[in-house]
Amino acid sequence: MKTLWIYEMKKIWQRRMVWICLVFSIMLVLITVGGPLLGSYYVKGEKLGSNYEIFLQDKAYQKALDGRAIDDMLLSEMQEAYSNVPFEDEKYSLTEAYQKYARLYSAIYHYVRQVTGLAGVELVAWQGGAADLQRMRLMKMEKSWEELLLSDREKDYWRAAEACLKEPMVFRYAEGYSVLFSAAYTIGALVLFMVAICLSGVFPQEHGRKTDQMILCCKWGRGKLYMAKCGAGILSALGMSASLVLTAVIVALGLYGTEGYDAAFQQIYVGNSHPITVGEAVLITYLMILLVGVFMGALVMMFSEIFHSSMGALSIAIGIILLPMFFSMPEEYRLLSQLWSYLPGDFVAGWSCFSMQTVVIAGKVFLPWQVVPVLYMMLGLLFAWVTGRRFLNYQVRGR
Amino acid sequence: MELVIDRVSKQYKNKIAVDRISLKLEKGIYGLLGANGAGKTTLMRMLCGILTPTSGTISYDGIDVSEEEYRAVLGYLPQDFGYYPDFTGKDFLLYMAALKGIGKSEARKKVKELLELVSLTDVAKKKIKTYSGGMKQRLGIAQALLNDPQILILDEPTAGLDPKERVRFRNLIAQLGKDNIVILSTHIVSDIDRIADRILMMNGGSLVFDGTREDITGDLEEFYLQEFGEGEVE
Repeated sequence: MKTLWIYEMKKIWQRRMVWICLVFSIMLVLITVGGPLLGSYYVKGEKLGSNYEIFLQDKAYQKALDGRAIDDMLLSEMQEAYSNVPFEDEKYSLTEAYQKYARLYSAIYHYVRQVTGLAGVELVAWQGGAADLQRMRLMKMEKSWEELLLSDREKDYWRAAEACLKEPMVFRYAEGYSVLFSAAYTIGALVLFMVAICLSGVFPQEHGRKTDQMILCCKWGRGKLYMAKCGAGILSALGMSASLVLTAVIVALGLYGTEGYDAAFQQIYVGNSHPITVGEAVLITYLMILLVGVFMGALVMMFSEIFHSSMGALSIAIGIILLPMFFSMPEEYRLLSQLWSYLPGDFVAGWSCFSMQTVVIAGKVFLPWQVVPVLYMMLGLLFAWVTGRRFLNYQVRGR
Repeated sequence: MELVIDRVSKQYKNKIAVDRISLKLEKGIYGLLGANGAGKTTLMRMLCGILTPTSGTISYDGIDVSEEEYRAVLGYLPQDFGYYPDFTGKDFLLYMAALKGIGKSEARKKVKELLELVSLTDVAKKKIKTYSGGMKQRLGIAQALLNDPQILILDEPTAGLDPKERVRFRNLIAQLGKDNIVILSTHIVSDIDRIADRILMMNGGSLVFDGTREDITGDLEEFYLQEFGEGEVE
């Protein structure tokens, strides 16, 4: 069995296409994660500096605020610093007032801006304090829960989750995790495309090369070979997904720093009530990407054996990946929109993975990243059964 | 040792590819002749368990064709032999040995023996895509023999072999036929003429002749043409 599995792995990894895809995808991951540090930053055509210099400066400023609670004192410091900024000037970020005073607080400014919806002079003139900020965020969350058509049980769950959040929120420098969280959608899509392309030939190659007639009449050419093929396919999907995920994690944490694992998730995703840290959110997201990669492997292998064609399987798989990227399901169709967000192409995004639409079973609330692995596992077993039926009962005819 | 083919038929929509064939095969060499579309390959595929008969049964010493035990004693060389271009000849045989349930050390020994037998030892570590047609065919023959099959089914085994190799291979089949059931389909009538213990002729899916060389007076090819008129010997 082990020998068969090794040869099946060899068949997958010997294909030049697999290595081309892997190298290309890793390059895209490097660009996605490290790209923002390349080149220069311009404001209305005027160069502010290189992106790397700007990053280093912002990092230093954010580190200076690291560990400080976003309380009344920090809010007023930020407002005071920003009060010097001439917002009427389109190039205000180039002014000394901004660079010297305000920029230090830009992370806090942007957080408050997201919660209050205010900007510029309006934000500077805002009279509220940390408690108001918290109240406004809660109101925003309540409105969001209404829009998401959450049940009373779900709303109670999220209210309880909100109550667990530390107030006032403590600001942490967490750029590495923030970049990883933002890049998850792109990396997830790359994983899906790569797995679909590389595994669409696992079964059809036997038919295309006419090796099926020899292998199927061997002692272990049915049950054990099928298991070896599935095992090799799933492990390859996991390997491909892990390569991209590890590249992203190493590069992001290497470039931007590992600090901030325990920052509140709301620091990078204001409109979310999950009581977890930024590091935990990234961990869950990337584990979901690995899961989605494996699921796509099972799905594409099933279609490839149904159609006996890698192109047919690839077309269907790419359709499934792209569908949620081009079309969104209105939230007023609660069940449909929830199921839509579970599609592989959508679930790799943070907003789906941490959606507040949950599944309530016997009064217990299950979150998307708890439901989807079970759902995918069940569907994966179904796909494996269908693939097995097709492969084991394959009839060699024609030719 | 008895391979029983009991009223086996294969029908595709309104076309009968194999029509109620019944045979009892014991050890020996069986030469299968028939024109294109006579049903030889369909029958061979059913004997290998890779095509399910529409009706009838195939069993070897009471073991049904669909069982793993049956496949364990089977060796098959299809007419259009498929391979993995990026595998070396040795890797291919080791892979096939694993599929046939042969243990690692035994597989290595057997592969070495067979590579020598089919004169591929020198190119064993080269990728199959670099092999000539004849070399690929010899590799196909080697894989069919890996598990010392008690039932050996060979569809056009000498295609692509040079005359010297063909004679060598014919002698090998003759040897194997002494202790095993060998079913051989070839368009080279002289191959069957020389080594087959029993000759089977198919036409339109039916078995139209089942006898020994002694039952046929004169030249086999002429006999075939007499039996089937304009039919192309395959």
